[in-house]
Amino acid sequence: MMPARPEHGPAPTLGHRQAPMLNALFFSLLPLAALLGSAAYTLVATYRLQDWRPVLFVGVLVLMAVHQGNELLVFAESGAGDALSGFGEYPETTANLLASAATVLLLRFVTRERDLSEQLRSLTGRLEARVQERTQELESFAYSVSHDLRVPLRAIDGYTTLLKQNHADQLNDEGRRLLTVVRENTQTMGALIDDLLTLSRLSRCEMRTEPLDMNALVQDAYDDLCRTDAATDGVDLTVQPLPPAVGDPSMVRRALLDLLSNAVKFSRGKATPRVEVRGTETAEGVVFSVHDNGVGFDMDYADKLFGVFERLHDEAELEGTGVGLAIVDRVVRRHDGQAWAESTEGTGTTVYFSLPHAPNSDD
Amino acid sequence: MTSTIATRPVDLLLVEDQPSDAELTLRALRALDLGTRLHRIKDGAEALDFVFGRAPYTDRSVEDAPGLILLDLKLPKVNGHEVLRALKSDDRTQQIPVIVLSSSGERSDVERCYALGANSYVVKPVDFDAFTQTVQRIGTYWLDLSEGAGPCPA
Repeated sequence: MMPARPEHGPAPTLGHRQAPMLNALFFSLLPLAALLGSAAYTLVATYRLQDWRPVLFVGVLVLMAVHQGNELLVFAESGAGDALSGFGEYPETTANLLASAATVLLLRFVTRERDLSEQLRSLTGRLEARVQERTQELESFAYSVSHDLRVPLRAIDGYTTLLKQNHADQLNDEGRRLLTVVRENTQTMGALIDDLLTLSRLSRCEMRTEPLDMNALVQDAYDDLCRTDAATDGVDLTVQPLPPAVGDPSMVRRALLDLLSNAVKFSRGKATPRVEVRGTETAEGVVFSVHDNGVGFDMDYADKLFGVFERLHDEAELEGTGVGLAIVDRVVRRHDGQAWAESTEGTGTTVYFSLPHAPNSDD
Repeated sequence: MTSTIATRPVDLLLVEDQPSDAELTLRALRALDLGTRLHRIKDGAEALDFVFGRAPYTDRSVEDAPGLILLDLKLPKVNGHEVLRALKSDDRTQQIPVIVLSSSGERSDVERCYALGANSYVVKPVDFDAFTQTVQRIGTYWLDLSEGAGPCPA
């Protein structure tokens, strides 16, 4: 069918004088408006995205708009009689409309993606904040429970001691032995509460990060251990020159104390107990290791090693609260490091942990 | 016993809600044989009434200040921090030595107490022998060695 030019007859629904006006409007003004509109949209989107590359589109769209506007001027001069009557007659009109639509769609898509990723980020942030809040609640719960447990524990220990001190003559040997057992258990529980409080404190405390002299920290922690643990007497401790690392000195010192204390405890049954501390730089960080030639553990249970209250030996064999390596793990994790262990039963254990690199001293 | 001692000067006021902790503390102090007059109160509100001579302690006066106050932090009604603030912010009571005796060794608790004007902060050990020793050292130092600003011995 022929396009409905006015001189060829009236359009089926419109009066024949209005048709050229409408055509001019539809095929010239509409693409012009579309071009200007999409150029404006591009500008707004560019601003919202804070990315100025799409400004190139604006240039092209404005150029196309100028061309389209020129076309409109031609109509204005020669009258609506020459108005276009369809897209096919003037390919640029079609191209202009398509270009506008494509630009808007493309930018819409990009903006939407950006919006979604922003939304995702804010949701993740909120979720993280909530997890942190809950963790804090849990930590403070653990903290206050541990504190409240100390009061009755002190009473048990106190009254048992008073009973033993002031009424020993009314008890026979078995009675006195029972009281000793009560006291020993009170002391174990006291140590347990202390360790739990340390664990909770290490999780909550603010970290101060500075370059660490690892040799000094190891020596310091070991001196501390020697003062409280008689088992260190026969131990042959070797500390290799250790590479520097970065971290919170008091937290790392605490972790070293627990590692050395374990190494001493596990190797004390040997004729010549040996403990060795080493360190190497790797691409991911500085890896330190504490090795002992002690009883070792079954590697099948290696995944349980760093959990709270996890013990791989029975209490009578090797005393302990089962919190030590959990403390090490907590400290190392807060430094974005890792802790792991290797062992052969009967020949020894090596516990590794990594810390961040010291800042490059070359520059 | 409370009614008679309440009207007399007191050398040491123990503010402690836990009966067992209170008994063990008083026992340790009595074993020192310093001849000190000890009085124990169970909560923070009553401790302030006692020191400031308010009901039910109207026959006491704020001038009969205890020579030393041993203060627990976790107390019913008015907690230890609040008692400390009330005592240290009043001219009539701020010179009374207050030793905080708490189960908590948290740095925040310690710092807060010193900021409020505590004269000392001591963590109560769980171990009975260590506990007795700690309390007795406080007693010996503050009741015997240290020159108090409290009432002169009659």
